[in-house]
Amino acid sequence: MTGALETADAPAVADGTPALELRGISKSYGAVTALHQVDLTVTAGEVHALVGENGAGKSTLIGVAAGAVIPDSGSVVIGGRPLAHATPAAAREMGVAVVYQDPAILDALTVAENLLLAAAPVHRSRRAATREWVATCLERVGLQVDPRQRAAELGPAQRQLLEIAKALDAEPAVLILDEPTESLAADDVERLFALVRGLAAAGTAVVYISHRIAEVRRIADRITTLRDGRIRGTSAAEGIDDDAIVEMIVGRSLEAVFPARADDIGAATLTVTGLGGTGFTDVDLTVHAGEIVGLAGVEGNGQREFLRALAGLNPATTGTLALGGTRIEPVSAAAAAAAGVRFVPADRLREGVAAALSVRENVAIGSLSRFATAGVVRTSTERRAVEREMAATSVKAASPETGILTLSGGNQQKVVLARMLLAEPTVVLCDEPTRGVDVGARAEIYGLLRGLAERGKPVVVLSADAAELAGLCDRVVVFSRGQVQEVLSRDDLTEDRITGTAVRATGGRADLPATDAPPRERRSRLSRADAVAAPVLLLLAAVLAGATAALVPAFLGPLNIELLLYAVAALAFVAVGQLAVVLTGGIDLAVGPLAGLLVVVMSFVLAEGTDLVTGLLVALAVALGVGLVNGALVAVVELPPIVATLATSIAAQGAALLLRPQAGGSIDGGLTTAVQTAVGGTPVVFGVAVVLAVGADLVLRRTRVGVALRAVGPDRGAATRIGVRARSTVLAAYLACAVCTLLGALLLGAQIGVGDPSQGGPYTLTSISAVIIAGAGVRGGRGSFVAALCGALLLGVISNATSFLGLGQYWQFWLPGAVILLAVALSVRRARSAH
Amino acid sequence: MTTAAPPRPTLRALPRSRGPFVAVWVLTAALFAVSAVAVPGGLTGAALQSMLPFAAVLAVAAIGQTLVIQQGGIDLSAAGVISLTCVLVVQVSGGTDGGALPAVLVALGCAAATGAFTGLAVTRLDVTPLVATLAVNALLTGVVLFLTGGNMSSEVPAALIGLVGHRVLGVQLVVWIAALLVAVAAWAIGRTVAGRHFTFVGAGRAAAHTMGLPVRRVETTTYVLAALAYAAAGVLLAGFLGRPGVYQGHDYLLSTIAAVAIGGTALGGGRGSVIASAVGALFLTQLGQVVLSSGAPTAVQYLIQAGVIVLGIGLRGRTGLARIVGGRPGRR
Repeated sequence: MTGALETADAPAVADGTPALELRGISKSYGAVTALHQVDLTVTAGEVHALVGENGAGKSTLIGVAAGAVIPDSGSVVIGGRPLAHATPAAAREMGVAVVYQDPAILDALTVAENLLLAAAPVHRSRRAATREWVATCLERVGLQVDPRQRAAELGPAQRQLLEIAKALDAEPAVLILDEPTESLAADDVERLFALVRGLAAAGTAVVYISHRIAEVRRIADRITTLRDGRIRGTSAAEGIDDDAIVEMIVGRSLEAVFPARADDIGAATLTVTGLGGTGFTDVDLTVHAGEIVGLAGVEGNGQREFLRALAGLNPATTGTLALGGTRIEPVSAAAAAAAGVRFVPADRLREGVAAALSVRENVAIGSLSRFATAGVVRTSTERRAVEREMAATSVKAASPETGILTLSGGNQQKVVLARMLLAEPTVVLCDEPTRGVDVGARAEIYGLLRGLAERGKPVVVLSADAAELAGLCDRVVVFSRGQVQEVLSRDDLTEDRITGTAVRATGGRADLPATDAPPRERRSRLSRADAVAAPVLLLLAAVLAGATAALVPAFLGPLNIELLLYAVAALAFVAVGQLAVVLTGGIDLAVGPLAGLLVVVMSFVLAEGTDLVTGLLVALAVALGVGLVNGALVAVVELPPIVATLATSIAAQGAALLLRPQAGGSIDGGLTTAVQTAVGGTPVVFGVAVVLAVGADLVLRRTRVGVALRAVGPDRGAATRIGVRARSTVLAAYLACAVCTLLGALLLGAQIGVGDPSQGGPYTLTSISAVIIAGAGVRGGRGSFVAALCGALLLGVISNATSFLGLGQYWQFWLPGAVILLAVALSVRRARSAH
Repeated sequence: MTTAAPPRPTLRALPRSRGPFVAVWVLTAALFAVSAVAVPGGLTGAALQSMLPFAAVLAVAAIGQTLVIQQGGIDLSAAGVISLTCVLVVQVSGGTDGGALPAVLVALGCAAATGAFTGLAVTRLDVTPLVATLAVNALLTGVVLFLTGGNMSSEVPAALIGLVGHRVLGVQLVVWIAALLVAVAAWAIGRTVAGRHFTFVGAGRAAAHTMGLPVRRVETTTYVLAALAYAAAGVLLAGFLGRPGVYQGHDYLLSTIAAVAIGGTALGGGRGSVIASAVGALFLTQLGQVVLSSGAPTAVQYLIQAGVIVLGIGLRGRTGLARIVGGRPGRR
């Protein structure tokens, strides 16, 4: 670590000093050569761009430099020292930081917690996340957000900047940026460029990977081109023109990529008049037969909202839409589809395809009724049609039954287009049709879109890539502040004009908020506080207790209070354990049977005359054993938590029955008395439960372990990339749960006094109930142990009150059931209404 | 260029879509082979006839669980619906043959209403399926207690018992009915337009919404159909047992999930197969039978079941049992 810091703290290294050297790197995956004899030298203080197609070897090269990929031959030298044992940690320590295209930001955590989790050890060891340190990190990248904000609320640009802030904390000597502007608005790009220049001026070597040639030429000092795993040349950025770079990248010229434009434009087909809705107002647009119209603008200026309105996904509130003279009203996606409007979404994997299904199923889904008789699909007709469209779009797949995920990005996109062609669209809408698609497939997609236009279909294409719009479209509409700023056509239709118009239109709005964060991820400030449920649950419990006591005064008598709190403590222990698992995105169905097994075990090892310490140790060993099995099955074998704990719960039942086919044995009276000790009418164990819950919440909020626990649930992949030891964390959660269950079982055993294998079972569902009414998110990452304790309290009061009031036993089921539904429905409503 | 490898026609022999569902057939075949060899009388007609009805009931219930799991949910209310159905069949009919049909219809109606309630809670109130069905199960358990006070007042009508136990080609009608229901469900999912839409919504909810498929309606219907499947299982169970207990459905809370998981439907949504789940049900039931008939106590039966679930599912995901038997690479 110190080495890296020294390098960075040293006065700006003299120009020409190599900060990163790759010497003769070769790497093959089976028969595929990813890199062949690659030499690359990046000097301190320079911005060195690396350009190339998808599959050219860029990712492998980054992986080698970052220590994540071990090359077959060649060496990596960082700051003059060879990277001997290639691991990401070693490369990081030597001063290499990588900002990946897909930021490893954890949505469930706050901005500050994201920084803390990725922090260099030197900052970590200080008291967690000091305010100044966080502020410095954010200021360094010019990110103006509340550090206590949840990362889920950040826009793409803010996420990218946060990712860079994380990388810069280690004060790297070499900073690798992988496609950093892919999700950035034009003005955010400027800010990023200023930051990169500043870093380079301070002596950092920056490796800048991008496919946007115009950008690369502006930011880079030198440009290296990679094609088919070989270096095709390195040149100074000054004095080289776009065409030359493109030729180096693809081995052919730019013109070859785009199809010829239409010679003559026909009659108007799609007419939009005064359309307005969320994010855009008063848009007029006419698309003629044979024409491709582009939508441009700085991210978040309404162009995407407009396009999605046409597709029925963001319904317009004013204005009209006509197709060939007939009005259409896309008030929903279904209505738009019924009118023949077909939409190709930008987020292909989420909105475009069903990942688990085959190519055939993905292509045919939009046209099934055409192949159907009385609602039954004729499979041979379907298959022929699918094969025809696959050929028309030149999808490269082994067969129509091939899984869609095995295809490359370009082929997946062609599947989406094949679906559209098969459905015989009346209007074609494309959002970023070539995102993540390599140049070869790109040309094919452009050809398909042009073909549709030539067949008279109105085609509307939205793209952040101005060069793409300039090359593909006949006209481009530039959006600003939700309105049409300018329409470019013919000679005005150039990359520079598109970018220029878009950027000028929003000049002076450098604070433009990124607005394309999916709304489903927005959360209100209110619901941000995970413990918010606690006071509500306490209040409910108090009201119920008060009402019951008004009818039956003995309810609040000292005897009942003690009994009640004792039962609550037992459930609270188990619920605390359950929450630890739920936070990791899991669930433990085994807590009930485990509690039963532990009671049975206690009836042997904690019977009269046995040694207390030994007995407790044996019980602890059994609990840890079950926890270990659960944790290992989930974390190592990677079984779904429901399946893993279902299996252990069955096994625990079996083991309990094996030990005691019938209830029998007895648990040491001395232990029973000790556990049931009360001070001032309150069982001591209830106090222990409160202390445990409060302590656990402190660990959860204030320590790195707690942050890691919340991090592994919602997004394990990202957490792992940051360096969270996901497996150990999940394993620890199941172990903690088992130990908490042991505490609950001690109370249960002390109360019933005999080894009864049938006891304990209900704890599974009641502990889950307690955790859920406490507002924990079942996908993990959100929850409060104190709230879980309050949940246990409410459930305890309900159970106790119903029997006190002489209500039918069924109320013991109805009330918790209703409370669960209400609690969850209300919290969802609150989160929804907040944005 | 990241183009796909050249086509390999041999892959057509086994479509990828069947990959995850092959292992359960192999496991079940192996189990029956072991039963025939290791357990004396393990595969006699009598042994099969006492096992098959239970497998049949579980298979029918597992149809419902498969539907829900395929939509990315999990249904903890199967137990409640089955218990309630048993109770209604007994209490509404009052044990009379004339009351049998009305009782069955009432039970199915209640199940449909329950499913609609769950479905609306999930789709309209955004309550997570796990939570919604957990709560609904608690509500149903309350209803069962409310209706019975803990004791059944009468028995299942003799007509229903006779019908379910009627033998066709030597096998009880309950088994034939279950086989028919599973086959119809599989056909409807695979071959009808509605079924294909159902599959697509389960495997790609956002994509389905973007295309204009009625996602919410599909999902709500899923819970209704699932509840109907549990109710059908309940009716068969009641008819087969004759004197069902008040909490007769309790065991089905976890065993339906186990059958689906063993069958190969991915928890968390995606592709599913009701046939594979039915084979999973057959496997689990036969396993219980083998262990019991070998003289081991219930306790050992539990332990073996747990081990087999872990092995059956764990092997498939990790070391690629599916690859060996299915000739296809694993999911990752």
